[in-house]
Amino acid sequence: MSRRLLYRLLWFVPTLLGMSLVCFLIMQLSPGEAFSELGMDPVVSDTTIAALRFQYGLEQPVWQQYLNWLYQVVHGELGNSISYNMPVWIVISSRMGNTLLLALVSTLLAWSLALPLGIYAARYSFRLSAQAVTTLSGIVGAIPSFVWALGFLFIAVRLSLPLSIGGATSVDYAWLAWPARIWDRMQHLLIPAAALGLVQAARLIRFIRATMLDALQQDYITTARGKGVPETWVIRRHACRNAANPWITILGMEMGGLLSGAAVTEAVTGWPGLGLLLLDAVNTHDSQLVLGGLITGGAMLVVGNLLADTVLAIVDPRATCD
Amino acid sequence: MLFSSGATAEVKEPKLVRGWEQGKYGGTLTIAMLAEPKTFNRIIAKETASTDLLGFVFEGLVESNGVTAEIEPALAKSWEYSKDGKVWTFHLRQGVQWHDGVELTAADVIFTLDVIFDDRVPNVIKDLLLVDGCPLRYRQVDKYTVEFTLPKPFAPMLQSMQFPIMPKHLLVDAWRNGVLAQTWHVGTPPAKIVGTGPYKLSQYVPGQHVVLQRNANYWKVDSKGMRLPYLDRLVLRFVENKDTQALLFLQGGIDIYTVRGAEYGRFQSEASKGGYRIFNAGPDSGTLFLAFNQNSRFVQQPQLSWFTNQRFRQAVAHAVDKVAITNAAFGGHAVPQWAFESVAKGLQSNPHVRQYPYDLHKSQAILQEAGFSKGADGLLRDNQGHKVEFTLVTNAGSKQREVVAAIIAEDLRKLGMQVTYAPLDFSLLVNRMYSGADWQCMLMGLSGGSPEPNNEAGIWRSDGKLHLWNVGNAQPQTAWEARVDELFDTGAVTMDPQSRRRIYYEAQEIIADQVPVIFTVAQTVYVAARNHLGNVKPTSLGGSLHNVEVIFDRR
Repeated sequence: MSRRLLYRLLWFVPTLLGMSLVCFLIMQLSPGEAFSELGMDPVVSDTTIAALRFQYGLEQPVWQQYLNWLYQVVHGELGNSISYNMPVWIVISSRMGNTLLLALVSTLLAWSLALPLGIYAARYSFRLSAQAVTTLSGIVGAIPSFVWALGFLFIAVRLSLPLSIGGATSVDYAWLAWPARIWDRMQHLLIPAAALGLVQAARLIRFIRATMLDALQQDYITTARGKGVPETWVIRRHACRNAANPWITILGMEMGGLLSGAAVTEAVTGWPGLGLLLLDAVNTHDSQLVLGGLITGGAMLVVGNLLADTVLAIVDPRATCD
Repeated sequence: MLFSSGATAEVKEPKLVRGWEQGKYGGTLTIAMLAEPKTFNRIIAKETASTDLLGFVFEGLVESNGVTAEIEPALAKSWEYSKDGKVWTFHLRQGVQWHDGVELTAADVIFTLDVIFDDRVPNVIKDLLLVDGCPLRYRQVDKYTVEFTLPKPFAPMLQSMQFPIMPKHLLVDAWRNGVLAQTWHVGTPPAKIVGTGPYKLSQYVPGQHVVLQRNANYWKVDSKGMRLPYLDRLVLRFVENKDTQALLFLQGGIDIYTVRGAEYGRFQSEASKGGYRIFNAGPDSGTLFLAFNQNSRFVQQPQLSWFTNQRFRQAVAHAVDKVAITNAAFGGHAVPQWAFESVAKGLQSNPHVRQYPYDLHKSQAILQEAGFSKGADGLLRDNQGHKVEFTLVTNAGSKQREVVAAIIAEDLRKLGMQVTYAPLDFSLLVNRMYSGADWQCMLMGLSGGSPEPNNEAGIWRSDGKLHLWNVGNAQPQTAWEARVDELFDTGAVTMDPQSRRRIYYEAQEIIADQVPVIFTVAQTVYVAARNHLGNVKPTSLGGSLHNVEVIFDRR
């Protein structure tokens, strides 16, 4: 297990190098620069723009800028954000908790919905209700989560539901007692988590159904049923156990995906997460912040994969033999 | 009650704020911002989210009245200038306190200027304090007096004196160590950010909101002698999405909301039920215009000969249907713009410039006079027989601009011009505008900002970096551009307001006559505010909170 962990961590280095290089080049190739919008102000002089570019080393050749950045990273520094003029890691860590919370809750929501429904849809695939589940999940999954978020927001306002719009906490959160704090968090979390979780669930249902159908057609299932093993036992002990491996892999990959995939939903619901921050950083050409976010996202992906691997090793002993 | 509290006596020279309804203390005002502040350091702040927020915390020697746009005393109670307009003396209001209780003195003003002119602290404030590219000279006369010496008279001097004053006692060490630009970022505890303004920072939650508390020792009083501001707390919430802001307002989560033209009907019909009123803040000070590239280095013949032809541009100006644009792109809520100084700038705007009412027959007649003719195939040709065809670019992603571009292109096609419409990424468009290369006709917008006409010299002077129709020239390319340059030169050194206005009126007449840019319409700004708020008076120049110190909660 520890060998595997080391192996994963070692792979992280070239992966990151490749990711950062591609990201850096794309940001350089995209039109505009950190201070080009500032130049639209007729009052701001070219001298000032030049001084600002010099401050962040933007006048240097691209390869030099990339090497500078790499040098920082090797020395454990993520550098200064161009738009915030402060260390990147402070900017990122101020948003990190919110992103993790949203990812955790929406994933939990998605799996607790998708697992029973996906298994049900596979188990009773010829029933009308199971087909309805499959069709519905197709429709729900086809609509992007930010559209759901806008819809939920609209419903919440029209029906005057006790849900909060925007932010992760209320203004007076710091003065609330513990039970009230949890309630406050839930009021803020529900809409973005539901919007993200719903679409995630819809896709998972189809995936779980497909893998389950596959498993249910295996010979050992027929054998088990033929031996007179109770049906719930067949599903739980035989079908699920064998279908579960790809589910765990997907779960690990989702960890990294949630960081970037939630940006638009975060923007719509005003959720103060990393996705929104990085989207903003891309728009303002804050390359330092984007690259810092990329590293964080990469780290999350690696951690997610590691966790998945560990779980996989417990569920399926074959997975350790490589 | 009058002057009964001991606290009022501390500011020796408070500023009396008149003309508003008598308010009362207490209450919280919550508003939404589209972006969040990027820094708490007012000197290096570059975007409006930071400057808007810090506008409540830091103040200048003078301030601009949000309604009349006139310059009024602020941290300086009075000023005078020498006969030749070169030496200005400002007298500070005595007894003004920083939020930490230390008194504001001339040393703070001198320190702030030292910082602004320091090359290690790149900032955009400096550009407003340059006269002919040189920093103005300044010195401390005594504890409460500062003197400025200019190389020549400078009419925008008073406007420039709005630069924010920073506390020397808290920042001088950081400045000496060369780290001032990195000081007071958004990671700094808000209570450490100290200004003189009506509100002080009290709480900041990244990505969510910032809370400001009332400054109990503020230097403004109402006519009853009550210390301003009235409201206890301001809460600024960061909500990136305009639709979400609208929902938030309807839900009661924010108290003031800038209504978009298309939403006006819906908001108006629900106003009494929702307990709010809609205020008309007047036309927006920003501009939206069409320009033809007249740059001989980048535009080929025959296009160049058309674009540099005044009659051609005037014909196009007559083909811009401002009524259709107002209805289709702004929900019927916009006013036509003719002079380059927007109507929002009041008396600055010349009401008598040449206008080009929508009239395709007139366009056709002008084109015919200029040697263009429409053939049997319905296509317009110039006197050499070239088909009139060009590309119209604007930024993709702005629905309004795309609608406006479509309307204009449609009318130009009716005149027989072959117009190709090409939406472009905004930064790409800006790059092309700066370089002058790769564009023929552009639909572009610029935000309005300051009422000081000299601040727009960068657009109208022929050597300006935003002189978009013919960018990158050291010398004026036409006689009328030479005249505009001359007018801007004289305008900057003319101290008398009346003669100064006449100068800029003439510049507006020339531009309207030559139409290097064809203005479209200025959107009407509507602001919805809850009924319990008193003294709400939004203006397009000052925004909704220009008079924040007198806004109060009636409940």
